Amino acid sequence: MELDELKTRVKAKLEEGMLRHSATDLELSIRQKTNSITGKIKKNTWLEFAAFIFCMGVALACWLLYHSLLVHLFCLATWVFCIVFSAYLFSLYKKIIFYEKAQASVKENLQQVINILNRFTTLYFRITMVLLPVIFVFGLITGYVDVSQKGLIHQFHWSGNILFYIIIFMIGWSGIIYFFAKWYIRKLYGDYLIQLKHQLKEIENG
Amino acid sequence: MQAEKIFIEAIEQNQPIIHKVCNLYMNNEQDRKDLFQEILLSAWKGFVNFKGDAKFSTWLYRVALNTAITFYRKDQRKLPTASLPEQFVMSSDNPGNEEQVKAMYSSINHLSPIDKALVMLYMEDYVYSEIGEMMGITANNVAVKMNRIKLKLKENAKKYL
Repeated sequence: MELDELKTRVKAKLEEGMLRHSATDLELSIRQKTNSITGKIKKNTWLEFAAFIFCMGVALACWLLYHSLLVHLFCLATWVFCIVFSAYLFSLYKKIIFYEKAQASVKENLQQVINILNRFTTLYFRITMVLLPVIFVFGLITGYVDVSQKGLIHQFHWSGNILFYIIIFMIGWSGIIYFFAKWYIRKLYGDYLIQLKHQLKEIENG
Repeated sequence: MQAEKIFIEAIEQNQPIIHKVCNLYMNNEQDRKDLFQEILLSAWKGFVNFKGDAKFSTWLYRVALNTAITFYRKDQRKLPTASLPEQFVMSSDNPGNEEQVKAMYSSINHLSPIDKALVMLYMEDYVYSEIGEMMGITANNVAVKMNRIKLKLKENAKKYL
C-alpha cells in the first residue's frame, strides 16, 4: 500500500463534506478579529504602549507636584526609560506588520515567528525587571519628599532596622517578580515556542 | 474596494485549498472553523503584496500551510494535531479499499506538521522544485524527505489496517 496508489482517493476524501462559503460570508469573515500569534503580540504591544503613556503621565504629575531635584531626575529617568522601550516596541510592531504582509516560505516563516516571539518575550521580561528598581527608588524618593514638604520628617525615626527591612522587601519582591515573569512567559508561549523550534529544526536538518 | 472584490472572487474559486488544509491539520469542527478564519485573514493581509508572479492557488497554499503550521490556540497553546475527519466514519460501497484509504489517512495524520505539508503539496502534484520553493528547501532535499515519508507511511498504514 503506497501513497502514490492512494493519493487521488485520499485527496478526494479530504475534499468531502466541505461547506462552501458564499462571497458574503467571506466578506464578513475578513472583517472579523484575528486570533493569530502576531495579532496577540500586537495587542500586547499596544497594552505596553498604554502602560508607558500612563507611567509618563504619573512622572509628569510628580514633576509638577514635587519641587525636588531628586524627583525631577527620576521623572526624567522614567521618561527616558519609557521612550527607549517604546522605540524597541515600535520596531517590533513594524516587524510584525511587515511579516503579516510578506508571505515567505514555510522555513522563513517559522524563523520570523520564532524571532518575533523571542524578541517580544525578552523585551517583556526586561521591561518588567527594569521597572522594579525604578518604581522602588521612585517610591522612596517621592515618599521622602512628600513627608519633608509636610514638615513631618522629624517625626520619622530612622534606624538601621528600617533600612534592613526595606532591602529585604526589595530583594524578596524582585525575586517573586523575577520567577513570576519567567513562569508567565513560559505559560503563555513556552510550549508553543519549543514546538516551533522543533519544526524549524526538522525542516533545516531533515 | 476593488482589491477586496478581486480577493473574494479568488478565494471563492480556491476555497477547497483552505478546506483541505483545515481538514488535514485540525480534528474538530470548531478548530477547523478557527483555522479557516485565520487563513482567510492572513491571506487578506498578505494580498496587498501578491503580485501575481505565482498562481493564486500556489500562493494560497503557502499562506494556508504557514498559518496552519504556526496556528496558536488559546486553550491548549499547542500546535495542531489531527485525527480522522468525520467523513471517514461513513460506510463505503467498497469496504476493502475504503479501509486502505482510511489507514493511509490515519498514517498521514500521525506525521509531523512539516511532513503533512510536504505530503499535501505532493498530493496536489506540485513538482519537487515548486514544493522546495514553498517550503524553503532545495528540490533534492524535498526528494529525500518524500522518500523517507513514503516509507514511513507504508509502514505505519499497516498498523491501521
